[in-house]
Amino acid sequence: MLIIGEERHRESKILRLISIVSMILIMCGLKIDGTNISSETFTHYFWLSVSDLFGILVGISLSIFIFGFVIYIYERSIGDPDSVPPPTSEEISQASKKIALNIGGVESE
Amino acid sequence: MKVSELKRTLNVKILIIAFLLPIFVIWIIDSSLKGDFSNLDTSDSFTRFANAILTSYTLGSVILLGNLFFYADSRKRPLAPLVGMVLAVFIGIAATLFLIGMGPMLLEANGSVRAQTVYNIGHTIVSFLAIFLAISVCIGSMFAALTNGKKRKIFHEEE
Repeated sequence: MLIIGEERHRESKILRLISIVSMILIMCGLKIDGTNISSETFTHYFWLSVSDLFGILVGISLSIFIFGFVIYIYERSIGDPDSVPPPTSEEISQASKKIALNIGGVESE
Repeated sequence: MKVSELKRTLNVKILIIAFLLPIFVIWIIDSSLKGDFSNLDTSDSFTRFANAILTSYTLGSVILLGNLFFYADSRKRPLAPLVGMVLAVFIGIAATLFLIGMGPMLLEANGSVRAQTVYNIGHTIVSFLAIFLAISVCIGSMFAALTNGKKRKIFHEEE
């Protein structure tokens, strides 16, 4: 939040609070046996989820990289567009006539 | 280096640290409290990690393949990037099927390649839903904080 906006200290504090509460809950799960799940089982599944998240991050990054690479290769193969030849003297005189016709007007008071 | 470039590099570093730091903090605290390297089973974790990479890569490529149609609209509907992306998707599918079919390296508690593939897709969808839920909570709390604040005056009213 501090990166995205400016003067967002209050919002970044809230996000920090959410993060700390989540971390405390995870630590409790890792340490304390619950009625439905033991701390060992929670630890096992927690680290599996961490691996899962890292795997998803790497996989998505890889697919985006491949996508960018494919577009880059295609755009590079096209080459530069043909440049327009410079105007001839006849075209320049015609353009200057048009401009002269459209410049002017009544001065405001 | 310009100030804007320096700020951008710093922001990327902060983002990476913000992503990795909580995991390392939890790992360190958990390992310190238990006196060993937690209950981290590296072989299981590696299997899940590799499965997640292959599945998310394939699904991500399929989604981006759909995105190529929007890109084609802005060009003269070229076939080359489409073929390249289809190839990338097929490589992902082939690698997934081949590596799962190799045996216990990527096969979890499932009997066949098909079962493992469906399990992977289901797992990825659930993980995406969890990430989406976390993002919703963060965005919701941000909006609550922003709308709850004092109304800011832009101009001083003339008396």
